[in-house]
Amino acid sequence: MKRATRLFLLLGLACQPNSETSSSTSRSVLPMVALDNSVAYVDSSSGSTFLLDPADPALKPRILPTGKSPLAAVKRKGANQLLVLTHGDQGSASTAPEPARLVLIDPASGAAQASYDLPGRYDQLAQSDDGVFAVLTYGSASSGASGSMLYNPNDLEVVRLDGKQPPLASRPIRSLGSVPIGVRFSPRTTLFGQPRTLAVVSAVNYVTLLDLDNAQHTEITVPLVPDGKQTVTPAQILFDMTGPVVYLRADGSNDLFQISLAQSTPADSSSNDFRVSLSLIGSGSAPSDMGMFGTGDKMRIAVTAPGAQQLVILDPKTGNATPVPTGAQVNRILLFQGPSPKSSEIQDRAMLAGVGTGAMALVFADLQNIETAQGLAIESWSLPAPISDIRLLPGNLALLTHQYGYGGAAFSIVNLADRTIEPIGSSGALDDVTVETAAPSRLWGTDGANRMEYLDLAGNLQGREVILDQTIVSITPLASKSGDGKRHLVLEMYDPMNVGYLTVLDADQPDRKGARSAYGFLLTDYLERGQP
Amino acid sequence: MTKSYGLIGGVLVSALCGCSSGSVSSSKAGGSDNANSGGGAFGAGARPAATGGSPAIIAPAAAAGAAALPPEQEQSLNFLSPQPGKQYVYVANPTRDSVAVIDSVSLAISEVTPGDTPTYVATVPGEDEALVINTGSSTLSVLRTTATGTTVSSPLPIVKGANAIAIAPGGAHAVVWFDAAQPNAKALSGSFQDVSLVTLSPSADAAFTVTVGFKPSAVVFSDDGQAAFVVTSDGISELRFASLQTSVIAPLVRIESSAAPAAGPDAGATSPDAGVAPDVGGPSVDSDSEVGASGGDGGGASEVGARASDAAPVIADATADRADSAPPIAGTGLPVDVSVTRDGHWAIARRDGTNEILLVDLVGNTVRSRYLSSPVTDLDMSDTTDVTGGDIHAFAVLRDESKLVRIAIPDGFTATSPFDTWQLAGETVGLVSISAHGKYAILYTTAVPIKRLVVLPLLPSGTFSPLPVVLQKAIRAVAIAPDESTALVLHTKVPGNATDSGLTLADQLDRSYGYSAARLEDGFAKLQLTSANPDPFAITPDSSSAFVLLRDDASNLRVAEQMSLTTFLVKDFPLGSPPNAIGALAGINHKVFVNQVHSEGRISFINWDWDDGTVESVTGFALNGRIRQ
Repeated sequence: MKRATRLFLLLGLACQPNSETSSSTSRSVLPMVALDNSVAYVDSSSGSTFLLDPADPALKPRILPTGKSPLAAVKRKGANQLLVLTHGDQGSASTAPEPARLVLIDPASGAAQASYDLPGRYDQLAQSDDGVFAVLTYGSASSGASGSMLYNPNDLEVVRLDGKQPPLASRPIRSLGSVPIGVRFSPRTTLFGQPRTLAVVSAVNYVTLLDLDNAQHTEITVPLVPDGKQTVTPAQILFDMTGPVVYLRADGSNDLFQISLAQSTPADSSSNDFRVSLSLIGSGSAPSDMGMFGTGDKMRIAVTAPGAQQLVILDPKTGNATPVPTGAQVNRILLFQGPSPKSSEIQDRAMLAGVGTGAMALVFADLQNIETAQGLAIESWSLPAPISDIRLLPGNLALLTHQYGYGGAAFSIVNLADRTIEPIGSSGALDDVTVETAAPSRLWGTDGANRMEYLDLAGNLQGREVILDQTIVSITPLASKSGDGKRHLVLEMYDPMNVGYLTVLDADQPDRKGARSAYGFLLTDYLERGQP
Repeated sequence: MTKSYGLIGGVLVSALCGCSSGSVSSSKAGGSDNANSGGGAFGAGARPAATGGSPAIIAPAAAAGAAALPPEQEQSLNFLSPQPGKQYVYVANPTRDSVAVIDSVSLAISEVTPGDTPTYVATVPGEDEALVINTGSSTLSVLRTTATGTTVSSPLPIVKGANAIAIAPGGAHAVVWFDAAQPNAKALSGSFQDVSLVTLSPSADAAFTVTVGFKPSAVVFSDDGQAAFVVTSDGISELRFASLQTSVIAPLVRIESSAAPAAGPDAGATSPDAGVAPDVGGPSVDSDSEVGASGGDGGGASEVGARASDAAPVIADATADRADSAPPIAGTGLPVDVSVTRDGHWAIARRDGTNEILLVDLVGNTVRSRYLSSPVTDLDMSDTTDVTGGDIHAFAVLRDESKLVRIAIPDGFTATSPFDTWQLAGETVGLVSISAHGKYAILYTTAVPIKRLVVLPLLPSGTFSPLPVVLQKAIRAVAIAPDESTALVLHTKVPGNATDSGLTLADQLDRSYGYSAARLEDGFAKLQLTSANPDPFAITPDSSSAFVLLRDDASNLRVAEQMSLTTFLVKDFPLGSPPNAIGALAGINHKVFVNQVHSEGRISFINWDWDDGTVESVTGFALNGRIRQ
């Protein structure tokens, strides 16, 4: 994996809480998984999981068998646990077959807390934000990876990870000619008198709604095109659980899809106790991003339409659209609540940027009365360089990542209340960047060699550096303190042999003196483990 | 106030869901009348006698003999609009061979495919039951919606080219026919004289063809829903359902299509402009011409052919008694403004462009005429026989004389019977609307920009005091709320920009769009200006609110405006797409629907309770119909 690609993935995953993890069985070691205060590696060759506690002075891993052909490993959301998806083994004349499994590992005990035998060799895993549900699907291009000669790509498995019964529900979902390309989960909310999590399974030209708490109920298939003459690909989903309404933005459509849920009387035990209806809301030309703000009758959806250089405010109740010129080709929207230089009142506001468009402007929108104020609610600022990424930070801050090659501007820290923009320079291109969005809100980066730089985003923005002996590949600050009372920083080092090489530092006081490295830990007990 | 249709052109003043026919008065175009012009208040004592006898003429008509006025104008009904039931709205989509059934509560849409090119939809009043004409196959489908879904009947063959549906009170029968006056009516090959009689029963829907008079234009029913009267150019064809079990030629009460020549002196007039003229018309003997022209219907040709050799059961001894003092005004006007009494015994009509009004005995199969003193520009009926002591009257407007004439039915059409006349001095009135239960008559004109209307209380008897209502703009249409308390007046707009400099306030108002609400009890009126033509409109069944649609594509104006008929306050509901139709649902949900122009279909539901005002929209009928729940 190239380093630039790694940077992209890190940023991308951080932006998408429901993002899926997919992998290829061609890797012998899956990417490192950062747990709360430890890290895990899954060796796909041996089917073993290596748990490393940074507080362990010896950095000796604990090894536990996970299952054959693991292909994805992720941290369970909302819990300090590791989820490993395996394909198992079809068996042969000399070996017994092994089913595909989803294994839940507790790093504290170093043991598998649960193991679910799966009816299919799924290769994509998505989980709800609270970590209660996982949905396993086949990748759309995974026929080879699935390990099955014949399989139904529209079959999926709903797994309850909270211990409630039944833990598994196989759900071959209705197909309108496509296959799942993604799964998004609603926040867990009481709907129609019952706590629920909904899953929206995306496919080209349609989506499928599943009531995960009643997985035996019929799925609801919502077409996005009236016929096969156009292609619409779901791109973004928002949940308004007070509606309840699901809003869907799709590539290839100028409309937002508003999927409303209404309680109904189920016809039988397999029917849902709600029905859905669909509305299309015209949202300008090629909407690129959307966000909800306001409540009740004042709830609106802000949509960026970069082609028209507009921010479009949609009233989902009426479908009325108010286009507001932005004067810049903005395609991303970050909503926030806060004051502005003109008003100390905490209001709904937005920062708009053109990510990857080459636009060198940042636009602020005061959303509260924007439908009437229109252009008066828009304020534009120039930037030193185009933007490749934006994200919100604690403390009414936002981080802009600039495209390299514009006079050394690497980042900008935006104070959303003051609307000041602090540029952060860099003498060279950063090879791997990690941003802690939670306090203490630090930015970590490496130059692709042995130097690590970091700065406090909420502080004086002065960079500090740590020089190590070897090339740094990635920087991962752990979220929680370990047994030694420290919060650790785990650096993956250049490891062409794939034997395991990382360095551990104190995340709060990183320095060269405190660095500890472990090399070759993936070979621990190598001979005893029995390699293929 | 009863069913009132024109023999030609079947126009309907902005039909409102839940409104009785009292607010659905109809008429079409009088002929060239002598003019009346000028406004002004009623003169002192300008009130007719209470009732009975012949009220004296208090004042002469204003400016009689002035330049000819243009015809009165009323609005037509759009048959392609969505049709509301109790909880569901039905929207035909001919290009997709489907009908979208929209649940106003859950907004769920089911798409049913009743047949080839479903185009025209009508709903059984107050029920979630719709009749759909599939024009591609000349069939009719019956859609019945329950909580578990919509069932579609097997397509019933109907007359070819049918584009109109009338459903009897109670919903047990319907008549389907080709209405040549419909805006979308296409050239018809075959017959103009076939109608399909449909019996509606969930277990056994059925249809057969009946031959009627030439070119049906409207169908009205008796209150009990057991008889239909097909208004045709030849007269009125009677369909009494109990006696019709198969294809027949329906009995026809013939009405001559042209006025008689000048008649003799009044034989029994009790007022200078009233009386019954001697009979100058001979019996109307039918020929076989109707039968000969009856072939070629889409679904019942064989049945009709089987009766083709029969003599048409047209009433051979129909007579026309004409003995009024006023000479008949010769003309070729066709009978229009046909109204039928609740019991289906009597019908009235006026001869377009003449001073002749007709009384048709639908039981005795006779026709009598009465000639008034000047051309009748509108004719309506008040039938209060549904209450104890009620009666039936015809109301005729003589615009040239500023008169309203009330004639008892049927007694007023005898040679010596008197009738009542109200002389509305100084007023120009060409149209009359009777409120739902006969409490008020509203008189006005759309022919000239007169900014007044007259409210005439009819009940309780003896309190007939015409009440002039001064408006700020000229009148385009009037509708009376079902509870008879208010009237909604849509105004005209004169060309020009209201914001031009140098205009007086009156000029600015004239150049603006707007509508008014008028309280009938005391004539208080409020003008509400709008940014676009308020059209169409609806009054809620509980008479609490009126809605108008405001659409101006150039300025992106897309609004449904609600006016409280209690406070006359308004509030606007912005819409996502240009609105084109509105109606109220009959159920308990207090919702109006607003259909909008959208390539995928769009409809919004607005809760009409003033303090609620919830708006819910659904777009993409076809997509919704394909949702699999």
